[in-house]
Amino acid sequence: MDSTLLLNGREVDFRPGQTILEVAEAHAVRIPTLCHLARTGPTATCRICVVELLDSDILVPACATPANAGMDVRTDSKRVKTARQEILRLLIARGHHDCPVCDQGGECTLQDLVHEYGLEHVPMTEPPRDSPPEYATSLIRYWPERCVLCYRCVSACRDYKHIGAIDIQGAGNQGRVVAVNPDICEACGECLLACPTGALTENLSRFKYRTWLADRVSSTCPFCGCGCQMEINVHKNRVVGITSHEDVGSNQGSLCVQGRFGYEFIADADRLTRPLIRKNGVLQEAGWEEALHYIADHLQTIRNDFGADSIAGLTSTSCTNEEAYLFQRFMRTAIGTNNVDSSARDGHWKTLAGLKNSLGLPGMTASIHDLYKARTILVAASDTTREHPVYANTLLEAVHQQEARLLVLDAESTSLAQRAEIWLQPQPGTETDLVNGLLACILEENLGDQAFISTQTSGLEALKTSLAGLTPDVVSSRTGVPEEKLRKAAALYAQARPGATLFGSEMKGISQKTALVQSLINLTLACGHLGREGGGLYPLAAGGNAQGVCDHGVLPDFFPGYQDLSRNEIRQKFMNTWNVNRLPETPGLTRTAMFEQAQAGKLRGLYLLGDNPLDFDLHPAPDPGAVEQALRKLSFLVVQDIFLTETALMADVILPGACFAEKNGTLTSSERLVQRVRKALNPPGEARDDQRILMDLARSMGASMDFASPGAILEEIAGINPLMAGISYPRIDRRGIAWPCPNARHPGTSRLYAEGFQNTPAAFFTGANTA
Amino acid sequence: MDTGVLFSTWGHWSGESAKPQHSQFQFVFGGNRKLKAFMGWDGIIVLDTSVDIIDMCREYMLRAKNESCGQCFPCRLGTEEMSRILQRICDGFGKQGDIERLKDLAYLMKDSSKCGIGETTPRPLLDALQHYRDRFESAIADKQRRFQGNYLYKITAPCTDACPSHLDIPKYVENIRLGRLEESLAVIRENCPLPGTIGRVCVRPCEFHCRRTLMDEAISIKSLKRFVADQEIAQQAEPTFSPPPRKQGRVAIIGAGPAGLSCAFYLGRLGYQSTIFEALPEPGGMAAVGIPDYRLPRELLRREVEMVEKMGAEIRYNVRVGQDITLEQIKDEGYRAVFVGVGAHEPSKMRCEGEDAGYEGFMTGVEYLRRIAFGQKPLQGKKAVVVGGGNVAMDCVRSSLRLGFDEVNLVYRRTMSEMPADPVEIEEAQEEGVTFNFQIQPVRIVAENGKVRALECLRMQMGEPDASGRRRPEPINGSNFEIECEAMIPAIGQTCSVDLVLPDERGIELTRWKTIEVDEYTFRTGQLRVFGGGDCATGPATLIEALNAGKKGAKYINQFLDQSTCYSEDDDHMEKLIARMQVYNSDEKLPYHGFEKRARQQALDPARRIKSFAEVDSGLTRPQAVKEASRCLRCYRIALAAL
Ligand SMILES: Cc1cc2nc3c(=O)[nH]c(=O)nc-3n(C[C@H](O)[C@H](O)[C@H](O)COP(=O)(O)OP(=O)(O)OC[C@H]3O[C@@H](n4cnc5c(N)ncnc54)[C@H](O)[C@@H]3O)c2cc1C
Ligand code: SF4
Ligand code: SF4
Ligand code: SF4
Ligand code: SF4
Ligand code: FES
Repeated sequence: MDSTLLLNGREVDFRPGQTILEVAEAHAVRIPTLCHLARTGPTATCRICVVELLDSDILVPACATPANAGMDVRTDSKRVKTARQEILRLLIARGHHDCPVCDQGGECTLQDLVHEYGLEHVPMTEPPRDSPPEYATSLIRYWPERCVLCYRCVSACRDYKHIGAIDIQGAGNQGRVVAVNPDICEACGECLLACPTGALTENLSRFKYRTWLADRVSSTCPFCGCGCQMEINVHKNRVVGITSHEDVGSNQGSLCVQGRFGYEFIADADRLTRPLIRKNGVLQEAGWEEALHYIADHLQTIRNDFGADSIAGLTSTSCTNEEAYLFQRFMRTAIGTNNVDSSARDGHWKTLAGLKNSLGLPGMTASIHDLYKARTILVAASDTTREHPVYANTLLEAVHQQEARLLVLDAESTSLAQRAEIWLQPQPGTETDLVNGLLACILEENLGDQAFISTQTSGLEALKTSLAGLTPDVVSSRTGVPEEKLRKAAALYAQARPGATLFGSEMKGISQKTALVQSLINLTLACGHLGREGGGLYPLAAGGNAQGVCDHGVLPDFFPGYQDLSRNEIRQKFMNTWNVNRLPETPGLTRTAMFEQAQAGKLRGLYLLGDNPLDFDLHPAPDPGAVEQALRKLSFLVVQDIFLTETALMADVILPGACFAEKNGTLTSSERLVQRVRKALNPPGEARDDQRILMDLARSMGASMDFASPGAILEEIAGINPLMAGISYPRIDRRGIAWPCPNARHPGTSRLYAEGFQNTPAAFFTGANTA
Repeated sequence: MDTGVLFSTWGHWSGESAKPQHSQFQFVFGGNRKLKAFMGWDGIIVLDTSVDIIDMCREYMLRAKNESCGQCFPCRLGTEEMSRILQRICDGFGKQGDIERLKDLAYLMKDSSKCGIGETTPRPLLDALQHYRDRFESAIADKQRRFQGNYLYKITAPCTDACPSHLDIPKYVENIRLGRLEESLAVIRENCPLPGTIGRVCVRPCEFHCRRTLMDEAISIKSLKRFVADQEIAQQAEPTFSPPPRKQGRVAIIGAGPAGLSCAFYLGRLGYQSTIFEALPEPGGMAAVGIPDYRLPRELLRREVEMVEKMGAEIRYNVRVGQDITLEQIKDEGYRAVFVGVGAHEPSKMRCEGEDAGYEGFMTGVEYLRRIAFGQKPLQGKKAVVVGGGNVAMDCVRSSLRLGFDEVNLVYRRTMSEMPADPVEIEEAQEEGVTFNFQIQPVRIVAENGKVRALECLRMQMGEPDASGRRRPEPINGSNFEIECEAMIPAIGQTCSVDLVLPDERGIELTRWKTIEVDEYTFRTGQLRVFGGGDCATGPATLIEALNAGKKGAKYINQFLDQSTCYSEDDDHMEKLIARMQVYNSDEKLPYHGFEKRARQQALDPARRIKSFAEVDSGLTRPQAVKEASRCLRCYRIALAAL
């Protein structure tokens, strides 16, 4: 065979293009590395990984040397070992490695290597006297005397994050990591993760713990829809740090500033620790029993007097799947109304609804890592680097390393717009026209995927009619995008296949979000960018569990799993499971309608689980005053949260809940991955796990909704929601599963429509079916 | 024969074939100083007993330490440690065990470093430790401080050495890899004032001497240069230069071709204002009126010329020196020195019947291209024949297609493999639909009513090898045939005729090819204040050679104006010495093969591109460029000469 070589005398095979290091890893032969970063081109600076080739008078670095057929490689000969020892000796002698006071001690690649190669009696230089140099961010401290100048931090910042805030400056051993562009540092900590030594350490506070003393609890970051995997480090019921691993999760170790450093709120002194009840206009501390009964009494009174539909419930997008499920079950059974919704209403749900109507399933059609295979990537109205950093990392990696072509459609300049091959900058408000213009151009010039259109879609003719007149010159004058640019973009997007389209759910400043989403779906369909690795529609959820909240029925018009409320057999199924003999049939109020009804005096009781409608930065409202008025008009407001928010200040009862690090559950990321969050510490004071609060409250209302554990809740979900049928805690213990997952042996579906749209063709939106 | 070589290990590291003749080692620097010893990437050469090898090793390692980029550990840490030990020995504080330690470190560095510095600098030290071990031992035992010798030093690389202007290629390529694009461009501008131009049309000797070729394919050095130059334009950035020292006096430059422009650019950086006298209404010389726009867009060239103007040059157009003004008059106007860069514009003869008859439809290649450059359509018809095999011929055929000729024939005396044109040009011309006719010799232009109708040709075959072993093409008798055409364009080369350009010249000596005679180092003519270079000194050559001539001209004009004398500097001698030492060794065996093909630029579709003079290649994308740059092996080599 061509592709074999001798590895320590054993014949092994390899794929052409692999490095010696990759071949060795594939055959379980250890070669130590120090500077190697798996997903970048090799920096090949440390030479710890040198190996011997028979017939060569030099040693070669395994991480940067392509495997050749017939090579005779020795990974542990005397010559190799001597070289490694010598390098380590020089390295240690040059720096000042005072392991006992180093935060990294016990978890340092350099320390491990020195141990592995048995170095002894290496003299150490004097400790440096000058004060520590400034780094790109004050969240990280740089220790030059521990820095081995391996360039990992520099490559991580440049090649993983595509930022380039730091570089090494200075000749030879005078080299230092320098913040060459401190202004663009995002404080993401990618460099910190990359550093193999203690030269970069977290600078929030020092001497909190020794690495081996902390417990490390694997969890999912709750801040956005990326679903980053991370470890919460806890010591004495306090979070002392967040760590991550390159080989875990879609984020591949990357986190953003919030995920990596934003944990200090957990121990904030302002956390709510006891229930509060408003008495005589003043919020006063109360016991749990009292608070729960108080709520139950009031809600029951309202229901008796004005009917169940005068009560509504709202969640935030960061509660867990189990909480979301319990919450809607509580509203539908204990209260008896479909008035349940979340703050995803005006954001993520808009995009999901479009996808559901046209394609069938309300979710991203592919996975983050599919982006590596995309040939073109269109980013529409999303500041992805800021809002969904992991998607930005991946797509930029696809652009920089796989030569994917980047198109950005945005009225505002974003960091991606600056890097795009083509940046289409329409006049604000004409985004949809522009997408329709691209589509019209593609259809007119037959640039699309004709086979896909004819076998997999319906409604082409109507679509064409609806696009009539949108010639490039018309679109150009309407949107301000030059005609030539539009044509170029259309040709690129249609012909560099497969193509991925990303769009944010916030779409700040865009009025007709639904129309824009529909047009983007049409565009994707016309080019056949679906069901193929690298193609797809990527709605990016704001809010950590916007997807999960919608999946689990926090919607006024759907049961969990987007099951139709109005169908008898489905209602029957839920009645059986939920042990009730009646479920409300008519769709409830949407979040927007709730505020309207409250203002009109028709909605009287409102239960907010984590939602904070008065935070207008997070939930922009056309008329903020109206929202506040609506809340004021309510006769009874319950807020369950971890801080005393603006909204909570208006509440009649406040229940102190737990943050993500204080409870068990699951979250569903934008890529439909159901992943675990795990309890790492106890909530402060008397604050309680939100699931328990919901169950207790149901009981106070005379309904029964008891589960022994969150896992049991997921079991019930699996039994009743076909998308989740095969998902259970044991199965997602180490790695999440993407729904739909129809049974316990199914691996989950990271790419939708891989088999095409056989029964129901994907429908183009036209003026007719969007109205 | 006495080679003067007392001892040499030169060539044993990279194989015998790399060994230059011993007789080539003798070298004399300015001031009649002889080379006493040489230390470099392939060993040591000693020509004089007075050289202290130990002190020379110290100096060599000190240089290596300063050159170490610090990226790879063995080199960064090893050079420092070795340098410290050698310094200590030379200071008289050597210790037992130092020799062994040096040897271990040298082997570590040679075996496991990343780039050429780490791999090659330990070699002469290891040679010295082996062959002069007794001297090292006694140096350690004697504990005497050693006398510091006199050394010249230079760093090079195979590509750098092959480049006529010696650009620091590994450095600018590496800066691209590291995302330091501005720095990269600054490195290029040290030795090339027209990066966007050279990045498009250089004949790229560097790439043909790239060591990566031995592993898979050469680095796309040219496209990388274009990439950084284009990035500056895309970012709408202006290069920043530290303001030069302001110097007294103006310099006159004749010809705004690459040589003249380069001279003005570097004079500007040295603090001198200059005035360029140009016969044409357009700057750039052959780069503007020879090279067609589809290879080098005129706006780009003009932008780079503007940069030269910003450096302090004023260009006077439509002034033909020798006609509108004489050299004497220029000197009398108070210019303190003159640089002549008038190029080589006379077309060579084909020796073909009818070429002087003035037929309609006949035009020489350079004139044809010049007229096209000024927006004309100089010849009419549907069928064109171009004679020649070089780049000018390629420019003529490809331009003809763009002017609307349907049938374009190229006629060349020899075979495809012997064509001097760049292979990429040949390939692109073929894609565009040019018909190549090889081993054909034109004999007569067939005309009717004073208009070209056809070209009569003879077929050729390879003759017997002559005395030099070279086979020459010979006509096959009676093989005459005609190729019909309405346009006939010979493009077989140009000659220089400085006597025509500067008819009044006295003191400037001309060679037998009527090029001006200049000093090989200083580019000064026989006249005190007159310097010159470019095609008018070399005969038709290349842009980068002309740029180098301008750069050197500026350097020595500065020296002359500062010091009132002109002598060649050591650095330029080192350049020449190194070139003899064979920096690129095509027989070298690398330990493994690579599998990464070089980056290729996107090109317009042939059917589309022949419709206009729009630029064909679109340049590398940033990801492509970074990936390409990371293929570079950084084959730096350090040379140290003892005088
Ligand atoms: C068609 C063609 C294609 C070529 N392609 C390439 C290529 O791809 N790559 C490459 O490296 N090289 C190429 N060359 C060669 C290259 O262009 C020349 O080597 C280079 O331009 C020489 O520069 P120069 O400054 O010495 O002379 P020129 O470029 O010839 O410039 C001389 C200037 O002096 C002016 N001048 C002449 N006489 C007078 C006077 N009496 N008074 C005032 N001004 C005067 C001329 O008008 C001209 O502007 C090509 C040449 C030709 C003809
Ligand atoms: S960086 Fe590693 S080797 Fe250095 S002091 Fe810290 S733990 Fe020790
Ligand atoms: S924190 Fe992030 S942006 Fe800042 S230097 Fe480190 S990797 Fe770069
Ligand atoms: S800071 Fe860490 S990652 Fe960066 S060069 Fe130094 S040792 Fe390497
Ligand atoms: S690999 Fe790089 S340094 Fe070596 S010859 Fe080629 S361009 Fe020059
Ligand atoms: S791991 Fe290969 S050179 Fe550092």
